Order: sequence, then structure tokens, then C-alpha cells
Amino acid sequence: MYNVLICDDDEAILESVDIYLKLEGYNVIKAQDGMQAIKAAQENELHCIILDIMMPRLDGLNTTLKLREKQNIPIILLSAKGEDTDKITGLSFGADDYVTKPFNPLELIARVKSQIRRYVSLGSIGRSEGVIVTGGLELDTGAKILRLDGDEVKLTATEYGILEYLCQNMGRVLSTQQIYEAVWNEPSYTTEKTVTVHIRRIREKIEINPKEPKYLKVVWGIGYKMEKY
Amino acid sequence: MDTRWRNTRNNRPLKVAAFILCCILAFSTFFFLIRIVHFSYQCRPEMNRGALFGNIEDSSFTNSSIFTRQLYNDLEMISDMANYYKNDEYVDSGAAFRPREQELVQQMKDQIKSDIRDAKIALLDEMSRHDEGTGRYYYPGYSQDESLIPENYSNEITVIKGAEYYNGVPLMSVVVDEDEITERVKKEYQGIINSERLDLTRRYRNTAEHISGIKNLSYIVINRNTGEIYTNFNGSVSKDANLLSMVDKDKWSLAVQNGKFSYGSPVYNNDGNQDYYDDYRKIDLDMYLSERFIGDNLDIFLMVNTDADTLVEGDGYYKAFNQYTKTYDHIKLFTSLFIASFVLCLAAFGFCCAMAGETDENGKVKLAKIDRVYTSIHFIISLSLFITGAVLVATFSKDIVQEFDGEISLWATSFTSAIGAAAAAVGTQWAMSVVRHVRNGTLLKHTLTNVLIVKNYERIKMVLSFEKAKHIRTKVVGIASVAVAVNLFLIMLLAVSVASGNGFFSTVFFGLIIIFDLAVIYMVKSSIKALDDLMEAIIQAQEGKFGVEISVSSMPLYLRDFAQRIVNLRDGMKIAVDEAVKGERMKTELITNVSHDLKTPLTSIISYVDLLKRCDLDDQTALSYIKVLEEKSGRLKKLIEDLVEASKASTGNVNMNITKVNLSELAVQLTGENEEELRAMGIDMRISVPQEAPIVLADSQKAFRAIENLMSNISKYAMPGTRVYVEVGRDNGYGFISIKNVSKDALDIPVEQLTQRFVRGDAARSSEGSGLGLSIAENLVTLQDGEFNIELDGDLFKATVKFKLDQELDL
Repeated sequence: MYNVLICDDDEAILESVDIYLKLEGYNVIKAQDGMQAIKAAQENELHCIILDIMMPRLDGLNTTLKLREKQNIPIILLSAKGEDTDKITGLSFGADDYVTKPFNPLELIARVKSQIRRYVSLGSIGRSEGVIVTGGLELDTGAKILRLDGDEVKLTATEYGILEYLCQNMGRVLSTQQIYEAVWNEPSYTTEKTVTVHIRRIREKIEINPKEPKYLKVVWGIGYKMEKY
Repeated sequence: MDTRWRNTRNNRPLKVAAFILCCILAFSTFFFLIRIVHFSYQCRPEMNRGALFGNIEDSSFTNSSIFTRQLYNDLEMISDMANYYKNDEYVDSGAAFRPREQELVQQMKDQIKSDIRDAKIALLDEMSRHDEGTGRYYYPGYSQDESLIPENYSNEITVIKGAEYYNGVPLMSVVVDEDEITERVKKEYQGIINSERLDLTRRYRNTAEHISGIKNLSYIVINRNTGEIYTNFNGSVSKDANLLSMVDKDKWSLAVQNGKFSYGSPVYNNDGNQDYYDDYRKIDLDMYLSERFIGDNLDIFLMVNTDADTLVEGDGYYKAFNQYTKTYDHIKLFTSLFIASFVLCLAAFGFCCAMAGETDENGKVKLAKIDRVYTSIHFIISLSLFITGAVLVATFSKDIVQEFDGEISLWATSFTSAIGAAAAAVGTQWAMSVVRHVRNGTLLKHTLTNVLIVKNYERIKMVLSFEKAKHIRTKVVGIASVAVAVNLFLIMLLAVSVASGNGFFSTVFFGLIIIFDLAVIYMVKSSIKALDDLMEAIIQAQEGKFGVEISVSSMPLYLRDFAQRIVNLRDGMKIAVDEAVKGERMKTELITNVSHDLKTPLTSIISYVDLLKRCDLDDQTALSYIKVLEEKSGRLKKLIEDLVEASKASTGNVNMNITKVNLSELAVQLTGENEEELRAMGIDMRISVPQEAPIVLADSQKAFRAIENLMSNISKYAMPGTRVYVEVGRDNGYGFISIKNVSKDALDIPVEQLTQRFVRGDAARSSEGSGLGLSIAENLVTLQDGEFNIELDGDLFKATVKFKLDQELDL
């Protein structure tokens, strides 16, 4: 039984999220502002916190700052502000994920699940040689296995090759041409559509919302990169 | 009538012919005129105007210069014969030559003396120059009388006590004696004397021969001193005979005594002297005939036969008479020709003038090219050419008509007449131009002065007007004038001081001028600087920078008010701009806030609809309602998101992060992302990229958003079962991606409206989508300095997105 704190000043949202989380079997603690959330975090052993940003008394960002002073619990920010700058601000305040309203409830639940799994299993898996880690993603180059939040993800050989090449060049933007030449090991004379199709499939396997990827990001008109966390 | 004249006026060949005819007639007029005048000169020593116009009735042979010339020639020969040559014996013995010989010898002696003296002077010069090297003065004549050496040593000949000295040396002393000179004359000049003597003999023979050939003249020469008589008169002549009474009037029609003429039977007046025929010729002949013979103390009496019937053939008079008769005949013809030419020339001239200027249907005169020259200039040039021509004709004609030696030079006459014709041509073309201008009403308007005045009318008006400037106080102009006046006054004072040699005042005024001018320069410079500051402030304000400081208090007085107004204007502008910016920002903020407030309840709606779906509902109707709720809430979500984005994109409230973007890569990525989804809808994607990928400057995320909107439109509006073509290329400094698809609904909206907000291809708005997609795409592309273009061709929809090529890389 994991404890999840959901904090929002809007009752209806609070209720609906509560229902979804309970359906997934989580123990839900509710709060309506930042102060309540901090109090609840002190009183309970939490595994994940969902915080709305726009709240009375203490807003989500400041709550995140306060919580991060002592705890390392995964925090998912919930906000109606959907701008890139808002997301960046939220993440830099110490949040682990950022979901914009209006959200798909199932996506939110998936993110909660992902955060809890990583939080709970973190450190239980030994860091061996040849394992590349970014966020909840672990690529074991020895065994040629990819794990997402501890669960193995099935990949085809080409998909694995692309992922391995991207992970080896973590944070760098690689063009489809570069990827093609490295993975297929033959010269490419034109921009390859094959690569983009494969990457799309990989994203569908490793991302919660493939349209807004967390790990395998598209840099439009330049190439792809594996985000380093 | 108008038409006929117009036809003639527009008949260019006819007019050219008339003009040429006018020139030719002018030529012939001048030609005949010169010949008439020439004849008039031949007939009479002086110009007779009557002869010019054919009135030569009073002309006669004896009156003509042809005759006078012949007579004068004979007279000279006869007098020479009577005076110098006398007869064969006198010439052969050398007596006739003696006076001339003595004269020659004297000349030669003088020459020799002068030569010797020059040689001596040259020698003395040489000697004195010789010792100059030693630095001592050397006087060639020191051994002589040193007191004679002038104090101021001079290279000039000095006359002391009646003798010539050169550098103190008496020149006469070196001249050799007369015998030696005579010797040298004989030795050196005998040849010349001999040839002169031969020449005299030859001249005597010629004269004698000529005189013996005279048939129509009888002469009697009496030397009053010696009583010698020289004559060809066949009768006895005594020294004291009354010669006039001896004239046989039937045979001799003219008698001349000592250059004085008498005709027919001489008339005696009261004092017994002959009454001479009193006319203009007397003066001339008195001058060159009578005086001369009186001086020689000869009494010369001539009798001449000038009667055509009795004139004897074979001598000068006969020839002269024939020449006179011939010329006289010619002159009648030439006079008629002259008059005809002149009248016709005038007629041609009149025709040219009357027909000048081609005319169009409306009676408007077409000016010729030459008419573009200002009329005043044209007049001056034509007049000067005309006058030059006239002067040349007059000068040449004078030379020609005064040519007495018989025949006139045809070439010279033609040449002179040609000049006259040219002058006439100049005059005619000027007159024609004047006619054209008069008919066009531009004669006075087209003068240079008039044109200059018209063109510079505004400037002239400004200088002359007393209109006050509207804003710059009249004082400023006044101050400038006063400054100039004071400066001039000071310079004048300085000039006076300098001229009077007053050093103190000169210094004072000079200093004053410097100080005053420096002050003026300071004032001018500060004025200009103030103006420059104002200009800078305005230019900066126009570029949106309102921070340039204008210190009104330090401006020159006359600019302060103006500067204050500019400050006010600028402040007003700044406020307006700030307001506008603020308003725009508030608008965006409002939309953002409203959408934020919409999102929170929407979140709940979406969540609860989803929860409702999970409820165990059997009622199919309820389920279908839930489905509608789900769809519409999703639509609302999309609408809100697009609304925010559209408001930001249209106000430019988006941060652009411009980088190098590979359009081929972008197109391939987009295809990769959307291909499967589209294929599921039965839409096939075809992509073509160029060999060399176009690299453009764009914000990759925003460029993707723009093109993604197009893609999403395809998924909404493309006809299933058709193909979508994505093409990448470059075009004139731009890289582009174009997307073509076939619309499933008829696109009956004008292209321009498609990119407007809330406009959709389907007028019924039944489909999903906010109607903001294309508007957002266009705004985003434009914000990146790109171009967004949509073309419709029936159901074919083509969208092109262009970005600027990265030139650095392209080069």
C-alpha cells in the first residue's frame, strides 16, 4: 500500500483524482493548500505527491521547495500553465514531473505509477558495469536489456541499436543520418525516414505520453536526443 | 484655305527647295551686284550710285577709269622720256644715268664707312672683354688722352667735342680715307652700278618703244628752263606757242595741258586762263598729274583721240575703248539679272517666312529643333553671323571692285557671293524661326531671360519677398545681418588703421575682429548643435528610443519653444506607445488568465466523463450521451489551448530561439511522426527531399508547431484514399516545405480568409478543430522571418512554409 498525497484547491479535481488513485489501489491523502500538504507530508510516510501550482496560502512551487528541504519524495506538479517556461520553472524547483491541466486522468495515474516504482526500487538494483541510467530508464548494454522503472521493455534489435547509440551519446542531438549510419552501419545518402519510424515506436514503448516524451526527445529539424536526468 | 496653307506648310521638300532657292538667289544677287559695282569702278574713278542701278547714261569712255589709267600710264612714260632719258645719245653716254650713279656711290660709301666703324667697335669690345678675367678694367684708349674717358664707363658711342668715341677711343681715327673707300666701291659695287645702268637702258628702250607705238595720242613737252621740245606732233612747235590753239578739234577730242583737262573747244575765261572742265576728276588728276610736272618745270600738252569712228587700231587706247564697250554691254545684262535675282530672292525669302512652321490638324504649330534654342540667344548668334558675313562681303567686294586690272576674278566673286548667300541663309532661318515662334506665341516667352526668370520664379520671389518666417523669429535673420555688418565695419577700421600706419589701433581692431568672429562662430556652432540634438532626439524617438535627453534651457532662445514642443511631442508619443504595449500585454494576459480559469473546471469535466464511462451503465442512450460529452470536452480542451497560442503568436509574444534547422530532417521527422496515423485513415504520405538538405534559420520548436498544425489539418480535412505530398526544396534565398493534399470537402472560401482566426474549410463548423490552426501557423512562421502561403486549386490544397536559408552555410 503506497501513500499518495493529492493537493488541489479544486474539490472536483481532488475527488476525481482520488477515485482514479483508489482504483489503482493507492492510499490517498488529500490536501487543499500548500500548508496542509506540508503538514500531511510530515505526518505520513508518502510515496508520491501531486501538487497543484495555483493554490491559496502557499502555492505549489513554494510547497515543493519546502518539501525538498527534507524529503526526496517524487513530486508531480499539476498546473493550468502549459508554457515551456512554466514547466522548466517547475522542474527546476525540484519537481520530478509536470502535468498540465486539463489532463488525461489515465496519463496522470501512469506518471504516478512510474514515479512510485522508481522511488521505491531506487537503489535496490545494483549498478553494474555497462548499465546506462537516465531517470527511470536503465539500459544494460551487457545483457542488451532495457528496463523502465524496473520493468523490462521488449525491443527489436534495431530499436535496441538506436536506443543504445542514443544512450551512449546522452544529451547530444543526433541526426537521423548519423543514427542510420551508426546503427545500420552503412552510408546514408539522404535523410532516412526509417529511423524516424523506429524512434516513434520506441517512444510508444518507453514514454507515458509519446506526444510529450520525457526521455527520447525530438529536436525538430535537427535530430533526436536522449534526455539526461 | 487653312487646309491649303497647312498642306504647303507641311510640305517639307517644297520648303527645303524654297530655302535653297532663296540662298541661290542671294548668291546670284551678290554676284551680279559685285560685278555691277566693279564696272562702276572701271567706268569712273569714284562710285556712282546711278551705275549701281543701271543708270549709266552719263558714263562715257573718257569718263572711265579705264581711260584715265591708260592716259596716266602714257603720261608717266612721256614725262620720264622728256625729263630723264631724253634721247639715245643721252642714255648711251651715261649722262642719263649720272644722277642715279652719284646717288648710288654715295649710298655705298656710307655703307662702307658704317661697316668699318662697326668692325672697329666689335674689335674694341673684344679687347676690353679680353682682360676682364684679371679683374682689372682695361680701357683700349688709355694710351691716348685719358681725360677723354668718360667717368661712367659705357659701351655706347659718346660724342665728345664733336668727335665720336667708343670706350674712349675716337672712332673717326680708324676710318680709312676717301680714296680707299672709292677703291672699295669700285671693287665691290661696280657690278651693281653696271647692272643698274643696264636696267636704265632697258627701261629706256621699253619706254621709247611704247611711246612710238602710241597712235591715238599726240604729245608736246616743253622744258621751260632749257627750251627743249619733245614731241610726236607733226608740225612745228615753238617754245612760246599757244598750244591749245594748235589743237585740231576734228582729230583730237580731248586736250590735256599739264594734267588739266579740257573738252572739245576749250573755253577761256576773263583772266585769260583756261576754264577747266569742273568736275570731280579734276581733283584727282590735279593731285597726281599736274603737280608733278610743274615740279619738273615741264610743260606737257596731250591731245587724245577718243572718238569711236576715228580711233586708230593697235594701241592702248583702242584696247581700252574695246574693253569699255564690252563691259558696258555686260552691265546692262547684269543689271537686269541683279534686279531679277534680288526680287526673286526676296520672294523666296517671303515664301519661306510665310510657310515657316509645320501645323497639325488643330492648327498647332510644330516648332523645329532649332527653335529649342532660346530666341534671344538665337537672335544674338544669327545677328553676329549675319554681321560677320556682311562685313566679309563688304571687305572682299571692296577689294574685288577696286581691282583695276581689267578682268574681274570669277573665283573671288563666287566666294564672296557664297559668303553673302550663307549670311542670307542665316538670316532666313532666323526669320523663319521668329515666324514659328510668333505663330506659336512663344517668341517672348522663350527668351533666355524670360525662361530663367520663370524657372527660378520661386527663388526670386523668396529673396524679394518680405514674408515673415512662421517660427524662427525675424530677429535671427537680423542678428546674422548685423553680425556681417559689424564684421565688415571692423575690417574697414582695421584697413584704415593699417593704411595710416597706426600700430596700436591696428592691433586693437585685429583683436576685436578675432574675438567678435570667435563669438559669432560659437553662436553658430551652438545653434547647429542644438538643431542636431533635436534631430537626433527625433530620429531616436522614431526608432522607439525615447531616452535621448534634450536640455531645453541650454538651447538658443529662438529654439527653446520648438525644443519644448518636441519634448512634449516625444513624451506624448512615449506614453502612447507604452499604453499600446501595455494594452497588448493585458490582452494576452487576459486571454491566458481566462483560459486558465476555464482549464480547471474542464479538467474535472474530462475526469468525470471518464469516470462516468467506467460506471456500469446499461442504458445505450446514456452511453451515447457520455460519448458526446467526451468528444466535446476534448474539443473544448483543444480550443482553449489553441486560443492561448493564437493570441500569443498574433501579438508576437513568443520568444524565438533561432537556430540552424535542417528542413529535410524536419520533413522526415514529421512524416515519421504522422505517417502511421494517416495511413490508418487511408492517406498515403509521399516525401521528396533534395540531394542537399536546405539549412534554414528558424526556431525548431515553433517551426515544427507550424507544420504540425498543417499535418493535423490533413488528418482532419484530407480525403481518405488520397496521397499527401511533402516536398522540400530551396527557392530564391529561402528553404521551403510544401504540403499538398486533396480536401474532402469543397473549399469554397477565398484563400485570404483561410488564415483568419476561426475560419474553417467547412462553413458549417461541424468538424473538430478550432479554426485557429492556420492562423497560428502563419503567425509563427512570420515571426521567424519566414513566409506562409496557401494555394487552392479546386480541391487541391497546398500550403508552403518558407524560411530564410542560412547564408553562411550556403556560401
